[in-house]
Amino acid sequence: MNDYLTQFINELSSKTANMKIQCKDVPFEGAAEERFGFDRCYVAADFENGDRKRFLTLIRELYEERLKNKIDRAIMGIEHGIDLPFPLAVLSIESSSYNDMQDLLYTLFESVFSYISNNTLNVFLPIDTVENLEESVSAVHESITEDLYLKARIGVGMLSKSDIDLKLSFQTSRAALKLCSEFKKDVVFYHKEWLEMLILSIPERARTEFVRENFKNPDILSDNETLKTITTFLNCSLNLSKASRLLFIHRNTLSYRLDKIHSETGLDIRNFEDAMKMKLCLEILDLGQI
Amino acid sequence: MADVVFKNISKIYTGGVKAVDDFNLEIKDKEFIVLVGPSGCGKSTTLRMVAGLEEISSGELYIDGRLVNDVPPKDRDIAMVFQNYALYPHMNVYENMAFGLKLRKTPKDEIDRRVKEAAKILEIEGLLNRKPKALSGGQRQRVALGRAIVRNPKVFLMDEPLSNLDAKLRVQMRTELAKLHDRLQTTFIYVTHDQTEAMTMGDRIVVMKDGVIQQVASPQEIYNKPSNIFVAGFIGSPEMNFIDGHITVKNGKYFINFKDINLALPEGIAKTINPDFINKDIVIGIRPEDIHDEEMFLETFPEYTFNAKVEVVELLGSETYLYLQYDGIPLTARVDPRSVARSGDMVKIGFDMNKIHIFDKETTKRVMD
Repeated sequence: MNDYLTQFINELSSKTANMKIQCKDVPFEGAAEERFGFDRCYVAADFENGDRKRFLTLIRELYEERLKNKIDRAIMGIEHGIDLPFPLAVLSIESSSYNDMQDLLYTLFESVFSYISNNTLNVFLPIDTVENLEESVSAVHESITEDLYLKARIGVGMLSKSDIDLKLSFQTSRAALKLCSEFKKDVVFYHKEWLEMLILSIPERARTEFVRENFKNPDILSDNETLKTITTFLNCSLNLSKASRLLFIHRNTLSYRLDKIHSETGLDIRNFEDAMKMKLCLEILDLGQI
Repeated sequence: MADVVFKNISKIYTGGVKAVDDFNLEIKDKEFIVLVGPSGCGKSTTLRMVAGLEEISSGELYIDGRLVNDVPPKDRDIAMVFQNYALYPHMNVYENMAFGLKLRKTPKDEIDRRVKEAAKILEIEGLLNRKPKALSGGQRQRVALGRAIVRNPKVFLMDEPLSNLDAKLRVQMRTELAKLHDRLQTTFIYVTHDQTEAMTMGDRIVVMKDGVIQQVASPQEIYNKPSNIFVAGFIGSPEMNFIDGHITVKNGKYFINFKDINLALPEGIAKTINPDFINKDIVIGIRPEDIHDEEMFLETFPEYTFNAKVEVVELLGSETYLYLQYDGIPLTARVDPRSVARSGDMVKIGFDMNKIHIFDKETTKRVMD
């Protein structure tokens, strides 16, 4: 239990002298597991069953409203030193319905907090590494489609390691959400799209010119096998053996294909500079504005 | 287990883009059907309409005899498997598989029974306590399949589920999926752009282009009797060779002509050709494996042979590809690895005229039975 929640429960108990509320990290007699913001704790309150449920819902809503205001102020930069379970990822989710989605998140993660703001679901997810974040968010998107049958777009901001980064995490998650429609992707991780964002900052005419000057015949990319050969070779850092293994073809066949790509496009991607040009051309063409 | 029937289904996006156009298909109960085509052909949109993730613009969709156009996705009794097979890193395999059922408030003992049953089918019982990080790509894919199996759906929808696996694993998983279909005895609708997957897995294949069905048939029929130039070129690797030409008849005998070449058509093949196309512009199709350079073929069928220049020889170990040129016509031949042809050589080659395909140049449709 975080200090803020402990303080909230103590404050509440002192104001409701005739109602006894007990809240602990560990199970105890008469207590039931409840979720308050990021925390799961064990709560006992001396009420009849129906009243107890209503009362706990009420105090949870009260606590979460306060937590939401605190986070909003931190995001706006007017509150500092907010105590949240860092490292924390901020996700901005856009969909047609959020109730089931919040349910899904609370079922999935031990600790998570979310609220709707401007028709977007803000999700604050404590997570330790960028790798786990990428995997978890991809899985969340899949679950939204597979289990809730909803279409959703998710923008994922930079991981915040402390309260100082929270504003940046939120802003980058919103920027990533905007990029979803630009890139025609359902999930955009801000930290992964640096090249695309750099390209987007270049005027469209200059981008078109760059492709025209450097890439002789973009039509060859309509052949899936050619495109796969190029991307695999680039992704393998121009390593012929590794790429041929991944493509499941002989090294000589790959060499032959690269010769063919060279003669068709004018770019010999075994050479670093040409590989770089190819990567930029592919990204520009992928953005689909040419 | 259920049949799926599409009646005049179309999908038109705002702005008038027609993604799927008058799609008619009856998928039988327990059938493994593969939708294949290049990107943008409408195959994923079709699948997403079955799932209820895309609204149907017009037409009727029936699952197990029930009209489902307006049935919410969760009530359609389907399960989807995607290419990403993302798993939750903080959950073990058991929890990853059980999660969907937990969300549906399925009783714990029922969840346990279904997860263990699916794990047994997928042969991953020993992995249930492992975290995704400790799994190989193939094992992760099986867990993703397990998530779908535990739902016990009437129809499995799979959208390029193998495309994130490396080539070797993909081959292995193709067989696994075919076996899984046999074991589950459920209707599978599988979307891929990979023609090899389509050919090896489907009971029937639906080839699509620009939102329109091009052909629905068994893999053998698609390969041996493609209904048009698109299907002929899309299925088969390396792709079929196409040559502009004509059919002529001399003394009751049929010939195909291109450039200065005249090749006699065997009587059995000539009979199957629509006579309206004699002397008309046609496209001759010949698969790379039906172009021969071995002595025995050339000696047996001298009337099917001519000389061509070898431009490139690609040795693949089990077979060799010859990239040839005849008077500006590029040809690809798949020949025996013992072939002695080298780049720059003029070699004698022969077309297996029993395997020839003829298409109308104007409509691109097949003009023979």
